[in-house]
Amino acid sequence: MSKNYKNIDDFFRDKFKDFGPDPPGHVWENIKQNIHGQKGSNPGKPFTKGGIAGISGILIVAGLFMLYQFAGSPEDDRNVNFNNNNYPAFENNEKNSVDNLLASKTTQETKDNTAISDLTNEGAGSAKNIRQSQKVRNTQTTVNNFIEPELVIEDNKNNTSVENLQSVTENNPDKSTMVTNIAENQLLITEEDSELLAIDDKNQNSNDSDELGQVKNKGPSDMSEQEGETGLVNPGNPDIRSDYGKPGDLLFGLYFTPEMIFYPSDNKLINYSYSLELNGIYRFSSGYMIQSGLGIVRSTDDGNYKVDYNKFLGTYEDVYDITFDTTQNGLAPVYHTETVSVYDSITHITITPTKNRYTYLQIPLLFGYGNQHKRFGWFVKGGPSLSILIHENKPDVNIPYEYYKILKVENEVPARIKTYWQFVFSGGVSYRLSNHLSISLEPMIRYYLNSAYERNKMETKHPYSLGLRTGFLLNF
Amino acid sequence: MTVDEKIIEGCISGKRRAQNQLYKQYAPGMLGVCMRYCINMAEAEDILQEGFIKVFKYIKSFRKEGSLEGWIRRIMINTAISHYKKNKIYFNEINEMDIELVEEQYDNVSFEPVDQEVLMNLIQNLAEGYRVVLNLYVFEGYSHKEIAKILNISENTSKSQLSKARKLLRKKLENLNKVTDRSIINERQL
Repeated sequence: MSKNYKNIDDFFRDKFKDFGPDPPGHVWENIKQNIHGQKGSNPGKPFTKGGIAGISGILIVAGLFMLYQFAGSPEDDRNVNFNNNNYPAFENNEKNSVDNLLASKTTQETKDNTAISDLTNEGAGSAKNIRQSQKVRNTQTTVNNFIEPELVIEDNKNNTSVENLQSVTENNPDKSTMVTNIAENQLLITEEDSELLAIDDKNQNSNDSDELGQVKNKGPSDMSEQEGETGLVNPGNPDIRSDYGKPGDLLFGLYFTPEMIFYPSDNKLINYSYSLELNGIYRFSSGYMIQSGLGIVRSTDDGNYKVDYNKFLGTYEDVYDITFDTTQNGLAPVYHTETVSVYDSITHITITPTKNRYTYLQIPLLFGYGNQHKRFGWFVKGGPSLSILIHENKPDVNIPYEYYKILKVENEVPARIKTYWQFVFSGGVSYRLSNHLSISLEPMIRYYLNSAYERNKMETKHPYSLGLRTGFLLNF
Repeated sequence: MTVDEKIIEGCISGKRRAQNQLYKQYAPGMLGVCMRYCINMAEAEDILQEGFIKVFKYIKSFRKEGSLEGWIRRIMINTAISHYKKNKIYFNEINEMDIELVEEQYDNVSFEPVDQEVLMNLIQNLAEGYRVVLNLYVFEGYSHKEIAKILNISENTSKSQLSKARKLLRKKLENLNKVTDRSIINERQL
């Protein structure tokens, strides 16, 4: 049954209106392999395993270091006291327990208090008395009441226990506070010492005996002020520095920075890079700082090799010349042949995922301002950074050339340029783990003054990246 | 949110299920499109594969102003055209008079039922230039001006390619005894 159409165009349109054969399974397999091979372009994946491992490593090392610091502090205190010739009571103490160590330390302090209050310490030997003596110092630093140490020392003289002392102080709210501090104090010696050590270098170097001599003639309020200035810390030991350092430091920073690079005008690209940097930082006493150094940046591009090829079908012998030899039987033809490969005329296309790796040398020059409060510090920085391509690894596409005639191999990833500039801005915090070591956490944004790719290949002229610079700061 | 929007969101997030769903939904139709531009099934599969890779790669840029199917179809067509551009399609230049004479021949025709496979074979056996212009004009609805711009040829050339393609197809259909030109029939009856 024939059907009428306006023209042949309508006929073909009608015939192919619902035409849709099922594609073979291998097509989807190839597509899957290609799109899932490009892991870097998956926007749901913020950082790859390397980045997570790097940050985790730094945090673990920092955690272990802190653990070591706090666990090891009593030993440090002991060492400090051994070197301190101004503490003769320690030498008289032959016990080797922690209590004794505390005793040795607090006995001297009790002696100081004795000097202040004109009382005599008779029981420097027993641990119980030592703890009570410790209360004296704690009371002075926390309650800041000059009369209360007198009471405690009297208890000390009578060899009363902590419980007795508590019962004694029940009628006096101020004393109750003091006793609570005393009980806690047995466990908090280290922490307290750490806090007390936070004084200016100027005060550290002051002579304790002179101070005490002056204090003897002062009243309670004067005494409090004097304690506040000196901090009662390590008198006579100039080797011990402040926990929080001093202004005018030269620091060295070892940083690891994972970054995500965005190309807003190019749909495809979100690149990732990782850098390891060694920087020198000079902090001026005014809070300003200057930072520079060298870094190695590893970056990858996920792309495709697109290969146009013809399939190999076979060979034949082509006669390219015929000559004739004269023989006894007449002329004999000689056929000169060559083997010719035959390929089909269909152009096939294959797309192979590829991962190009680049290594850059990074040279930043940053200027900033920061401040330090006890162990914590903050800072902001900004400045130019130069990246120089020092190595690139572009794997070749793996094609069995013997079976194909390659028409064209096209790398769809645009080439990188050799040098480019960025402007870096960052702000972060640091935490001082010891006199010489801090950790730093520094979110940063990097604005590319020119793209890392060849000009005219990318629409985005000024990419930007977000990164998290984590690292250690060392000062000497 | 429509089904297509869910699929698009899933594909943007890189969800394999959504990608598979999109492929299953649109691949058959797109293979049909690709086949019309190619000379055989293998080549059509290559175009389909390359086209879908582009679809998943650039789906973030789909603005949802038109249909998803239309957007995918344009990608397939562009992929096919860029494929042939690389192979440098040879277009015969022709003068305007020739075109008009050829174009007016095939109005008011009736056709016997023909299998899609047979028709596809006829199209695939056309010269590349004929085939591409025929597809763009007849199936995609582009004007000769637009085709000229896409293929970087003159309008006349586009018209001539289409005219020749029509003529050739008609001839082949006649050989198959599947077409009767009504005008000829009418002439005979008179």
